[in-house]
Amino acid sequence: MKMSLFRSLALATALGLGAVGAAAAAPYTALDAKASSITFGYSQMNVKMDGRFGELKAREFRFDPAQPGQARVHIEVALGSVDAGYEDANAELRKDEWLALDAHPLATFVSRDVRALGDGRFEVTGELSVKGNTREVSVPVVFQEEEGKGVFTGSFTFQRADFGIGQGQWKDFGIVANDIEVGFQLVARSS
Amino acid sequence: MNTRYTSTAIFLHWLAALGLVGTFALGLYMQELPLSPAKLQLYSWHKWAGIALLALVVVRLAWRLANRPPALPEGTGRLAGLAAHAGHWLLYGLMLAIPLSGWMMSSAQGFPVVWFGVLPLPDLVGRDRELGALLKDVHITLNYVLLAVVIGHVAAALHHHFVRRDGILGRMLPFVSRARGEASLERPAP
Repeated sequence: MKMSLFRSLALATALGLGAVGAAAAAPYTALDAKASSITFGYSQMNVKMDGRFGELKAREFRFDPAQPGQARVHIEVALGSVDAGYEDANAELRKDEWLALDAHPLATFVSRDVRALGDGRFEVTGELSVKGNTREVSVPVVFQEEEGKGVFTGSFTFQRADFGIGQGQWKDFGIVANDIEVGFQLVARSS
Repeated sequence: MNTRYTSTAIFLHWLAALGLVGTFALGLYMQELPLSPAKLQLYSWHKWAGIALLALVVVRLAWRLANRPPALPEGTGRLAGLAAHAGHWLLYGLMLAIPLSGWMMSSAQGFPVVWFGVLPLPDLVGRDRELGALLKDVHITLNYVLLAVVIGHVAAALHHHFVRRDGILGRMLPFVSRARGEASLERPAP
């Protein structure tokens, strides 16, 4: 009896937050990496450039729209799968000045706190690690359910200098700006 | 009938000449460089210059259509006259096609052009790597065609000036007095 009261409370909360129908679905526990995508954008002499990463996986993925506070996400991106749009750039990004791929092949994001903002929106705070540097980032995420899958969409911006990305001749922001915008669409199943 | 080009036409002609030589040389040089901030900067400058040259040729064409150029000197053979006109219109065509092919190549390769880093230009074609590679070949080939036609253009001008001595070059030279331009035309053809 007590349990069912808790459940209805959870349902009411979920409905109140606008995650309609979400409570009925099981928690999302498996990332569909093939269906997911991570992109990045930056400004090069005021020209908007973009690229993507082809390989990612979840070491941990748990999201129950009814209990966002208990969500936990640990995502790994294989930086070697970067595609900046042309071969020269991809080769350049492997170098120590940029991503130092030999020493740091992975970028990770580990969530620490997920806060419901209402209307299917959440704020995920966590630690982003790239090239051996870790910074806290706050990521706004829009959650939607489509055909039984959970789709998480959002973007955030970090400063490449904070991670030592783009050193030496690239350090100056006159050609490649400091801000890097990461966009993502993660698709998860309830396994 | 005026025997010289208008000052505006002369100014635009030499501006284009300067711009074409500089942008061509820059294009030739920059593609050999390894990727670096300097290379990206030079590419941007090349694109800005190319778009400026595109704008310039549009202005020149408008001026050319609104202002009749001086007639070819009397005694010009039918074939020579035809070659002169064909050469000039080929130059105009190339000056239009080359920047356009560069702009299209840039669009296809996924590098939008932001003119002087300020004015974003629309993408002419969608992103497509294969099309980008094809357009690069087109852009380079057209440039070598232009180089060949310009060499012919300069050779013809020098031939007129030093061999035929008919004052044709003077019609397009700045700072040549009208009197002198006309005087040289009055010289009987050899």
